[in-house]
Amino acid sequence: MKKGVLKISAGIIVLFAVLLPLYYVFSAQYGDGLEKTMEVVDIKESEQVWKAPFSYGEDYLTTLVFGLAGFFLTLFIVYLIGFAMKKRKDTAYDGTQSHR
Amino acid sequence: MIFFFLFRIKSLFFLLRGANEHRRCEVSDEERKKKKRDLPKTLSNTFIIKSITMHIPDGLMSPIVLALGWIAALAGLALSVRAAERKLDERQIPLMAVLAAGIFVAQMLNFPIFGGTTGHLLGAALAVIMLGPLGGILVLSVILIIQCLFFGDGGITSLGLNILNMAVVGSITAHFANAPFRKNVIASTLFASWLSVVAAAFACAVELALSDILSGGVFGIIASVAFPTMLSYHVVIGIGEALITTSVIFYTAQVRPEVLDMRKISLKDAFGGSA
Repeated sequence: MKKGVLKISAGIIVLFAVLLPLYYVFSAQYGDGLEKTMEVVDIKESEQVWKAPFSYGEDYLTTLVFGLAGFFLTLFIVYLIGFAMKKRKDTAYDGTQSHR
Repeated sequence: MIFFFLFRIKSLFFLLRGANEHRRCEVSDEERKKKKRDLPKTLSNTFIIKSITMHIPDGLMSPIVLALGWIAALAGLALSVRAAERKLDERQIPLMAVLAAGIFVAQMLNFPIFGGTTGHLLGAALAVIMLGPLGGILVLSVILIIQCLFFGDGGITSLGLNILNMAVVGSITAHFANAPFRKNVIASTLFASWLSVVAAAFACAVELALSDILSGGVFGIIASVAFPTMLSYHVVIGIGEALITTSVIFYTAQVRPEVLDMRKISLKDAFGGSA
């Protein structure tokens, strides 16, 4: 990748990281399509069965922190899953080879 | 750890038994007016969020529909794992991880549409175009599981339905909608991403209506409300999805076109011969 494009891409990512939590805190006050449909028939969300250890945050700073935490958690877990799958694939391939 | 988990699951039975008692909210006209009066004040407040739910919560769908959702979701997830285990390329692992993390953040953000309603990115078309249909199912399922278990986004009993709607239906629709126009990247991405959102919303409306019928109105939402309301909002939300997805694909095509040319994890990979 060209150096200029890399710089612009990094700039866009940093800008998004700083501004998106602010936008999230604003926009999250409105319901989404499903919530609005539930509102039409006056259905209130019941208590969650599973109490999650985190939330998406309640102000700019916590949203930024939890957003970053979620980003890296997802990155780590998916990478781990991909790595485990690759390892299983390689093991299965080695097994097939040794049988021959 | 196991006891803690069992304790959590125990409360599931409590919820299913008592859902009918607290799910219907009696809102008087006075309360509704007060709520409307309070809204501008809330917005001008210091950006404090009251509560947030983007996916199907607990207690909304009937237990039969929840069970069917889990069966279908697990079948889709099993196929995607089987295909990925056979065909996952080493170069795809970092792409899959970065894409998943990006979609996780994008799903957190609601963009406004109309009437004080918002929508969030689904990401199914984006994942399908970059990783293939079964790669998309895998990535979106993991995101939904993380959102549910770690951030309380969507109910744990309805996680199967959320995976079915957003990961399975969204990805499969995006794949088949993308295929006929693949030569024109922009047109195919616009159409596939818009249709994936509408299809996921349609699936959700079917589940709401089915829950209502099967439970005699205890769960779900009556079909005459579920279909027009869900579809009218998501037809517009799909436009936002289409614009965001197409921008990302267009940007990727300009700076890293080889990413789009990587081998995809396709439906054939789940049923084909050994690796």
